[in-house]
Amino acid sequence: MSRADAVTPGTAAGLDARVVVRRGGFVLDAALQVPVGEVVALMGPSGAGKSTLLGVLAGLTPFDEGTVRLHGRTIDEGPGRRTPPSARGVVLLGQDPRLFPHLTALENVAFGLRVHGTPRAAAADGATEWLRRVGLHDHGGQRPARLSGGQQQRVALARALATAPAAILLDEPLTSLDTETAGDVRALLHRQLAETGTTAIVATHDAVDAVALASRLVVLEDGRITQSGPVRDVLAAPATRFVAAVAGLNRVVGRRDASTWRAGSLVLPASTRLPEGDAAAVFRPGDVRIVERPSNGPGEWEARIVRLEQTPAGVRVRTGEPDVAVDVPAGLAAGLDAGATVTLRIDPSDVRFIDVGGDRGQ
Amino acid sequence: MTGAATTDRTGFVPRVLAVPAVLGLALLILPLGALVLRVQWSTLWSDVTSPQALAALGLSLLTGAIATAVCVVLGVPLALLIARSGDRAAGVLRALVTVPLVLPPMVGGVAMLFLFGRTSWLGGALAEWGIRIPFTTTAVVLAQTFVALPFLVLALEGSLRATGTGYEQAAAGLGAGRWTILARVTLPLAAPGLVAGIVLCFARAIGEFGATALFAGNAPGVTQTMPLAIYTAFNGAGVSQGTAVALSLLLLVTAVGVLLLVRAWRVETPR
Repeated sequence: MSRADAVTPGTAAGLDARVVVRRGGFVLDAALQVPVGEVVALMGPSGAGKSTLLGVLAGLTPFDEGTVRLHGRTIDEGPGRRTPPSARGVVLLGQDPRLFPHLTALENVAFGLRVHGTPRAAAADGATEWLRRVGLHDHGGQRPARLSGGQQQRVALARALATAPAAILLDEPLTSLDTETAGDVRALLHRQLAETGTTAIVATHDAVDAVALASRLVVLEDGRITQSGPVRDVLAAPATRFVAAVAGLNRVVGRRDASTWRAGSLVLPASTRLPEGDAAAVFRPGDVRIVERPSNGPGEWEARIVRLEQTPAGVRVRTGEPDVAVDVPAGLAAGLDAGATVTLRIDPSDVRFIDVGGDRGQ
Repeated sequence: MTGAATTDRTGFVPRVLAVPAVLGLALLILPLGALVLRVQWSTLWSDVTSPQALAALGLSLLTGAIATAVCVVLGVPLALLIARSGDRAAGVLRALVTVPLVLPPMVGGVAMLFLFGRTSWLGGALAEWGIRIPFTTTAVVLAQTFVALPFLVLALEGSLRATGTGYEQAAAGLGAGRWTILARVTLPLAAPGLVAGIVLCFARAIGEFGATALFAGNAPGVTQTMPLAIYTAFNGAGVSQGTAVALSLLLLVTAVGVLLLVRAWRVETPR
């Protein structure tokens, strides 16, 4: 493996990558930019290629085509010219913190400093300071097995940031933690990434992570990027069913003509200023009501219940044709059954329409 | 064994298995007890301190230590190679390494004699340089290495494979080079397998008899290690079995001593 670290003058700082990986029938083909010091969230269903993409960026996973530039330095140029993982300055931190089990927490953090040539005493001082920053200064002498999952993830974060990496890749770092611990570590992550100005990618299943940690959101589905932009913009205007589900929204693709939009039996008034064609209606499950006495007004339609899902606040009712989720408070859910037909109503003012590019839709 | 309670430690093993377990233990321990019973305590001290006995013990410890060192130098890289190969290549390599284990050691001795003897291309070439290997102390070390190396390789390889490469990847991401990763991550994590391998390796080396007898011979002070000395004493005309028993006890005590030493060292460095 040769090193391709020629500095390209004039290239924007940050991470700039285009990566193609072909593995059997699966093709990952994604281009991604992370401005210097920014955090980008990477979301996608399981098997979409998130971990593969991060593995390539870390130099651990082979790729078939592509170029990776980091802060103006070309670190990968095709599969033949790759910088080894140890010379990239890219730290990959996964769900498993991978703390060295034979070293104490302090020695783990000092490890990265030592291999960068920091003298022993200075490395110990630096590691102590980093453990203090992640709130674990009195756990330095403990081995990873004695630490809780959240503490291990904090040590791993300190170990990663202590080396002042050019970029840090977080692959679902909070997934294996309980809700409260995840919240603590999420807040710590946000603070430390902001303070250190570290360029970062966070792969996550959870929109909360994206909103809390990242400025931009990139959605990867089946090996391709389907949507990207500022986090809240993407979540507010989901281009795919997956993003809608992540954002907790209904996204129903229908056809718009002169003044109405229709999908199955759901008909809504649509602004005439918009062009005709396919459009997606986006609305919150909580804004849909089950009505006892149909009035045949706008935004009312009959739907068959496909299944019921219990939620902490009540029941989420899934209906078919079109697929719509309806949140019903626990008190009003009595008598609802799969297979039954109900009348639903959505206030047209609660619905936003999004143009659908081509037939990507559902 | 009155209550039906189990603990995390005892688990759910069928209790009747205690019977074959105790039988197995008896099979291992009783012969050694019989050996100790036959010791002639009156002549023990003079037997084990005779010049021939001490020479054999010294030669055994020296050649055993050298053979173990050679096994570490060659076996650690070989174990790494197998552990980091693909499944098919690893299977082939592992089978090759296992061959000396299933072979009677005497066959190994004959084979080494054929390779290093004067009539072979290698032995002939070495002879031209003035190097003769069969029936020298070097031959003892080679024979011991031949039979002991598989133990170290297989024990360490299992340990390396179980640990996987995740920690190595983490270390590389932090900027560690390959040698640093080997010294500070890979080998420390495989330490249990390495220590077990070294113990097995050394034990096999000092117990080695068959290959040594054929390839190195039985010259006192040069190639006569403890097992050969014991065999000689046991078979020797006009020599009482007392000497053989005394030497056997000496070898037994030495082996147990080495095991305890390693164990003590292990306790100091827990994982």
